[in-house]
Amino acid sequence: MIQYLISVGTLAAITAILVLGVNVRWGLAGELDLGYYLFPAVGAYVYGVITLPSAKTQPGVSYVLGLHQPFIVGVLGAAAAGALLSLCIGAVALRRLRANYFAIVTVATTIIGYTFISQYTPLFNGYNGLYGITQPFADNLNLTLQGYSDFFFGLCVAALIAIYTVLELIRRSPFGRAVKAVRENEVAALAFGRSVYKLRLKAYVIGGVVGAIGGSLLVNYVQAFSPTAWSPLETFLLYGALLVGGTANNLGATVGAVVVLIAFPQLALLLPDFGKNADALPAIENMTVGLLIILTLYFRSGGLVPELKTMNGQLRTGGHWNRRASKTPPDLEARDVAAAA
Amino acid sequence: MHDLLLGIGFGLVTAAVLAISTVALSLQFSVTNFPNFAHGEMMTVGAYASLTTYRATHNAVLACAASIVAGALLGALINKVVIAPFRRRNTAGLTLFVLTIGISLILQNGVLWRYGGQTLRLPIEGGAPHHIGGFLLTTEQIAIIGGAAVIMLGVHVILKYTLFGKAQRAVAESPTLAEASGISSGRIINRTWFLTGGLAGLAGFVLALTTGALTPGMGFSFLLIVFAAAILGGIGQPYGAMAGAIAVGVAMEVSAIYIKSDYKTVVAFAILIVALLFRPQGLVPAKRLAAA
Amino acid sequence: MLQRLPEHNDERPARVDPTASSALPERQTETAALVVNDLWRSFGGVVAVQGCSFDVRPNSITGLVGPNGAGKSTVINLVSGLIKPDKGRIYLDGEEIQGHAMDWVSRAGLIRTFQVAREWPKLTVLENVLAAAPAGHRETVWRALFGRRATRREEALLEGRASELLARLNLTHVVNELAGRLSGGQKRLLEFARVAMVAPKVVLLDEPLAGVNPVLGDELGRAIQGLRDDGATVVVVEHNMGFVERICDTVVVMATGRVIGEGSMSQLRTNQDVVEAYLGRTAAHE
Repeated sequence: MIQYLISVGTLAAITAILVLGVNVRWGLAGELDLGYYLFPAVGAYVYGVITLPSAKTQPGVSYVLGLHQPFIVGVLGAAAAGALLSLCIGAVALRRLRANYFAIVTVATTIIGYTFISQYTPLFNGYNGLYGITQPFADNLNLTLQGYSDFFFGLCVAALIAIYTVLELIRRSPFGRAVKAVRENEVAALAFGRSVYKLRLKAYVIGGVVGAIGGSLLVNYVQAFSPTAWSPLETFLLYGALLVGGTANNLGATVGAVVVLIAFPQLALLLPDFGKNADALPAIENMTVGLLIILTLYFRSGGLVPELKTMNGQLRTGGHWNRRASKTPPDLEARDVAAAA
Repeated sequence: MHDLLLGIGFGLVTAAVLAISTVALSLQFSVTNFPNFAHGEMMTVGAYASLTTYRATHNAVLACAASIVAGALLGALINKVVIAPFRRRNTAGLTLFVLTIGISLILQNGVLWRYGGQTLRLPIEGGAPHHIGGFLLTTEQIAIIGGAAVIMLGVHVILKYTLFGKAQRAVAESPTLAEASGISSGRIINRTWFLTGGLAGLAGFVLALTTGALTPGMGFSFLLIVFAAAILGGIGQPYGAMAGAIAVGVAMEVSAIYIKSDYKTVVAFAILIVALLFRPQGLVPAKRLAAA
Repeated sequence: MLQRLPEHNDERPARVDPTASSALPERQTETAALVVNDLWRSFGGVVAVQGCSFDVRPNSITGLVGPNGAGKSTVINLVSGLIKPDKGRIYLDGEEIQGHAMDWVSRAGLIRTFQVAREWPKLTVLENVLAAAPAGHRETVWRALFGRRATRREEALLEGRASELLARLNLTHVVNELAGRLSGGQKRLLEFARVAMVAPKVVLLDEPLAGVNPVLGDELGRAIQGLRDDGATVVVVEHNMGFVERICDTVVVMATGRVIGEGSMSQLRTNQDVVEAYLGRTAAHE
């Protein structure tokens, strides 16, 4: 039972990281990126080719690099690849495209990437994908099988906490506030001197890096990666999790990932056999996610844990803004500002 | 040269399928002001409905009719049950778009549940090939191209000469203004969903006919090609949609002669991206920004 | 009534046209806070702005008035960088700003508002004001992660300034409300707080009274004068002539895309062109 929970928990932590990446783009910045799964996928592939030994050592397999590097190099490489790819796509697609069209372009980009990666075998071994990904630190740790999965669970949770913290710092920062302002009213942000394009691109890149890191952990969990693992459908499921959990709220994203993508399918496994074919169970799960999207948008458009009202002023002053303001004479501070300026 | 002509011939068949679907998507987009992400699934449902009917009756005409009816009813149902409640609350277009993603998930997986994920075949024979000019086309393909032409003409007549078509254009311009001049925009929108749903269902049947294969993801895979044609032709312009469909269809099939045919969808998406980046209608015009 | 392209001399600004010159004072281009020189812009075949020129004295409140279709909003859009002029020059404190995008112009010290208040609805009132303050180095990812102490210090100062401005505009009680929940008038006032937060050189207000309960007129008038008292130069586009007369030092009158008169309201009342542009039209309607 514990073994089962640890395994599910590991997947939950990784899924939460992926949904957090979606939340940066759609929740914080309002970029409807329907091609998000390209970034976890590229993260997974790049992690694979950095940590795997050279393809020449195995017959019938072909992929680039094969550097046989340790875990941490693989994760950093994946993050760098995610950043670079985000920068390239974002630099073109975020230029004044309408939101609907941006969404369509991102799906198209992902399908181009999908087709290319599946067909062009020298890159990531084409449709067969990468396999035999070694477990990080397994050689040095000398753990039992169960001990190792405990360790990997810890590793993923640590990564989740680290990414969550970073994203929460970003959300509460003036940068996060500016990105949110762009989402709320782009023209007003321009009128107050913000470079809308740069802010959007930054958020897009952050989302891509988080997605790529999540992908590099995912490939460790499943130990193989091929195009069957990342159809466009996967992105919609992540969006479902975010919408149900709470758009623009990191806690909501995490809750949504755990509830919608982990707990529901696990509970569905407990149901008596009511499908008539092998595809019935995943089909019903996905239909449930679709239904949840519609119901959430109608009855609770903020999600289970809605966006927090404020991230900066009120937070720092503990919600007692008026009391604090009366303590410090405003004139004094105004003069300080004038002097500083 | 012979290959090129063959490619153009196939391209015209693809374009015919594409045109039916694109005109429907474009019409729906122009009237409701958001793209329907479940459009592909409406095609899928139409295709599977025709399969079930054909299995029962072995009649291609009935199968075709079934796809239209299924699509039309589905379109009206989606609008009545899901979209309309949101519209009454003045939900933003982008949210409605996200909503159609949810619908798409439900429909696609509903088909998966009911029929399974394996590829099914629609056993309608293509008929004998004919040489027409330099082209080599089967009876079925000729029927598809001819049928598409008739449908385009029909859409043209509806838009141009019927009261419904005029009301539809009025709603596309401004629902509030249309209301003010006595048009019930809710009813027009509902009829539009009915009409475009029927066209989408038919497009699904024709797609299944040309490829001979049905999968739950068939409509979704086709959707982005439809978007490419719609955007190239200009969203909301049915005539542009026809031109866009022919351009994309022919470009895809002709490209398959010169590069690996697996990449032919990539060609369509490349056209889509280039069209969006260089056609101003995909961009936010400064004047729109300035307006309150 | 717009607009055949008139014959004009490229070298000479339209405003020194002898037939109109009686209405126009000498130009003060050297000392002006904002100089608009021979601005042209057409949309399709319609020339919305044709050879528009005027100067705005520093630290003044200048009204920009004219009948509908006179091109006032287009001028605001051109000056603020939202759209680009076909031709002409714009100087802000002697620096050329035409052709730059709106965010650049804003950072250069010229802030504009819109006919509809554009608050950030899901940010609180306080956050709206803080997010309007010049970005400086606060709004970087690096600062978000590693410079939190410095950010906190700067933000505390800004918060003090924001609290003062919000108190001045009677918004203290809604400081932690979401801006989207405010009334139309409060959104306008919030906009003034945001503009004041930037301490801009020049402010362009596009119909600040539009959609606001007339009772708030005085309060908004005081807010505009407050901006001026803080050192800003204010340009107001407004239809309410009573309001313009009350708060403006100088009024620039536009018709058919160019300036036809300039001066105080009493001067303008005796100006034939101006009276014709306004009264001639009303007479024709009657």
